[in-house]
Amino acid sequence: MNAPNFVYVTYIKTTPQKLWRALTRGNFMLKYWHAKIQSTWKRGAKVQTFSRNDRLDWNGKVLKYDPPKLLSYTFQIMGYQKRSSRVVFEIEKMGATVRLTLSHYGIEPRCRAGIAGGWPVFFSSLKTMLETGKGMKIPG
Amino acid sequence: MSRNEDRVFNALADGSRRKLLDKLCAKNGQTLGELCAHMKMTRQAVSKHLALLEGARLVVTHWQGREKLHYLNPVPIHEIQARWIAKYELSRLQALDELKTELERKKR
Repeated sequence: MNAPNFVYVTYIKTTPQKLWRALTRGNFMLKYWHAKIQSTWKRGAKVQTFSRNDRLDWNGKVLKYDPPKLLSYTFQIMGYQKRSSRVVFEIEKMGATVRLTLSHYGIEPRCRAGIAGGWPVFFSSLKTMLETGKGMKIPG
Repeated sequence: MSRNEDRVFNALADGSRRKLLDKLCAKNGQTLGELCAHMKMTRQAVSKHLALLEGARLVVTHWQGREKLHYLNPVPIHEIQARWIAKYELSRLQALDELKTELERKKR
């Protein structure tokens, strides 16, 4: 098996359950990201995110769904990645905080820099939303 | 949180450690051995610097079989940046998203 292209870690003052919902529920994701995620979360089911104008953004399939610890799905940004990659989210409770690790595998070389720039923004907004109740979304 | 920020700034306040981060930025997922090849210092010294970077969460490790691979974790730097200058990141992303949709719509 190949090594991940990227591994990101952040520590968030929240509970594993709340973080799990933030990653898997559409309206929760909209609080910190510009798209909402949709899936039945059954193995092999579609995982998709849609921007506000209903444009399909991420497209993939559920590989592992083990709440609130391990979430994995195939991942392709439509109109950007020519082939599918794979993301693994691991959630670990550490005292009053939760450690979130994202490992991203199999990204085609041409898309690596772009994706590397995107996840820290996602993580940072997710953390802000969970810790303060507000994402970095500015109205208007 | 400020103790964490202290660790980040302390970790970044050293040229050798910044060089290690540069090497990981150029090629993510390197072993200690690979990283040592770029550095003019002992393996022990490199290992010490890496431990400090790990403590500041700027480097995270991943075990691939028997190999310990080191990855650059830019998340703490982004968090510091977000605190002062990137509050509008998400609305910028949204604007980019809308621009993309608009341009794609015109192409059709």
